Amino acid sequence: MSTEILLQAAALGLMQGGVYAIMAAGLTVIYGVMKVVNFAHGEFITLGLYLTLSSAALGLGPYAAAPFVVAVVFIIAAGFFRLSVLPALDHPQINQMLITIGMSFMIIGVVQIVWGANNRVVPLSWARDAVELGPLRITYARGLAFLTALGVAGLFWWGLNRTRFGIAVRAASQEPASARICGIDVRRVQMMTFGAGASLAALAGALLAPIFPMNPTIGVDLFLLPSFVIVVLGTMGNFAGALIGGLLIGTVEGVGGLLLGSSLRQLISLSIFVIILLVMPRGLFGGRT
Amino acid sequence: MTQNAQPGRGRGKPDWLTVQLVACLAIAGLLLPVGLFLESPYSLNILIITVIFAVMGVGWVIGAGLTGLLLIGYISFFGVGAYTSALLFTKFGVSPWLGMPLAGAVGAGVAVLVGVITLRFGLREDYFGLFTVAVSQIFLVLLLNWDFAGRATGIYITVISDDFWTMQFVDRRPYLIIALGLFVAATLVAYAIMRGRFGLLLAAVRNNPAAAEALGIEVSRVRIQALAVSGAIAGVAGAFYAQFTTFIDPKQVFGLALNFDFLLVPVLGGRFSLVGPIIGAFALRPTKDLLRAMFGGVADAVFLVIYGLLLVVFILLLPRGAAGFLEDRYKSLGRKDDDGAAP
Repeated sequence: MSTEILLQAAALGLMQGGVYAIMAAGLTVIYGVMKVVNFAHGEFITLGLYLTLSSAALGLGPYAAAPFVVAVVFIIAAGFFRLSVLPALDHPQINQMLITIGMSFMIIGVVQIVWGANNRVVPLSWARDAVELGPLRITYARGLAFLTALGVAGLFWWGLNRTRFGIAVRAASQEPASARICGIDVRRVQMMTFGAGASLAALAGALLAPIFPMNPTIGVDLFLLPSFVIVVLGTMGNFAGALIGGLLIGTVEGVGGLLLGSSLRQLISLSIFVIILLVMPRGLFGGRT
Repeated sequence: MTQNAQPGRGRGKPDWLTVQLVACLAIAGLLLPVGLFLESPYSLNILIITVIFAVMGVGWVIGAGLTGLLLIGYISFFGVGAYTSALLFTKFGVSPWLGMPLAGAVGAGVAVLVGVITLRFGLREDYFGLFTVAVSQIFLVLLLNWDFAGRATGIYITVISDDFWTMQFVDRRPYLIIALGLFVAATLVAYAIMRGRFGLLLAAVRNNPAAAEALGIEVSRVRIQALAVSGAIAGVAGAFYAQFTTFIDPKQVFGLALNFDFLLVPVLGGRFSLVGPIIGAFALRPTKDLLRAMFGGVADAVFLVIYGLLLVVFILLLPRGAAGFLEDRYKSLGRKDDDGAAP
């Protein structure tokens, strides 16, 4: 096997990793702020995919549609959260998890009703056009997805660290009780965070729409477990950790898939998952226990 | 939170745990004649699956409800049980009657392994939960790649004629008897645990692990023992499931979909109750099949929406499950200062 093929696989994996990074970042902020493991996260990616499909049918390109897709999913997710997860925040964790699972059933059902159960793909005239970087060949769609993901992640990072709302989010995540005393509306912060985390997933979906054929259960089938793996790898609740974890897992999956074949590919990230959980459950950036 | 493990004797009315045991046995006793007179094989199949779900629920109550562990990937124990018995039967001709206890042993073994590894490495709560999910997914991938076990095709068990020794029945009714037998056995085990000293240990470990440890209770050991019982029950249930449905594949017996159904049964029914699983199973399973039948075919999607909505609503309304609600009712029965709910 030549180095070139290996490099190509690594590059493709890295591109995929960029999208992984924002989807996992969405999951990790939600966990960080309210310690809820969101099993419906994959479905927000699915929603992103399908809303992009519909926008494309209306004549809007996938990238022009992205802001609209993100806004719609934000509203849906925040509404869901307000009605179902928020009232259960002081209930046992298993209840919260199963509520998000109920949520995921509902979204899958709605997607199937609105868009049908068949595989769909967003048509893009230049989907196969690519840029050549030395030995590497990267399609514009993947490259754009990667760059947009990194850009948005950077924007989020800036927002979390530099804006008043970002500070409120971090306060609510670290010391909810004290944050409340300081006049932060923690419930509102939680709601906004859930919406924002879900819209990051939706953006990942929008960016993947020209690349992946979609079906109603693609979220839980393809994206839920990688999201968990990345979030744990990058320390649960750590935004930057999820970004780095995403790039890592994407690359490792790309190379590993090439070396081991696609059927064992899943085993790579699962093994990383197990090893990280056992050896350093706090992830790469959680410090020592 | 109220415990079932308290021996609240001498108050004139039987304590809640006894009531639950009687209820479980009565339900099982009632289902037997009902099931045997059921005309349609379709309804009979639903009934048997429902009872299996209840058995799985009892196992989860012991391993997760009573221990306070966030056991999400519970299906691993079930799946290894199903594969153990099905492989032994189809490849080596071992009778499922022998396969069931062996499957229970394998299920318990996997559970102990999960317990030892996680508790040795100090994985708690979310991390424990995610680890168990990872384990179930690893089994899924491994079995998808294992030629001997039929890879993605899974294992078929053909039933040509009635044979008691190989647990093959063309008429499905004997399966109901076996399923109810498993349910009664699992319930008795759970009752013994809840009633006895072990139940008290579990309650202590669940409510305050640090305090329990300080009192000299070996927290990890107690949890691993409970996990072992849970894994054994799930393993036996898996073995029976394989024999009853005559077909298993990795995506099914290690999949997230069935796994979540297994969790929903005890959570809707009552996380640390004896009667919860059977209530949860009956609330969930036939409802699911009924909804499927009503909106069947094209509108499988409508079913998903309604099912998801019902789950969310019920989990919100009854955070301690149906049995938690019933327990409050029962305890306030005949009390003078009836404040409706005993905390």
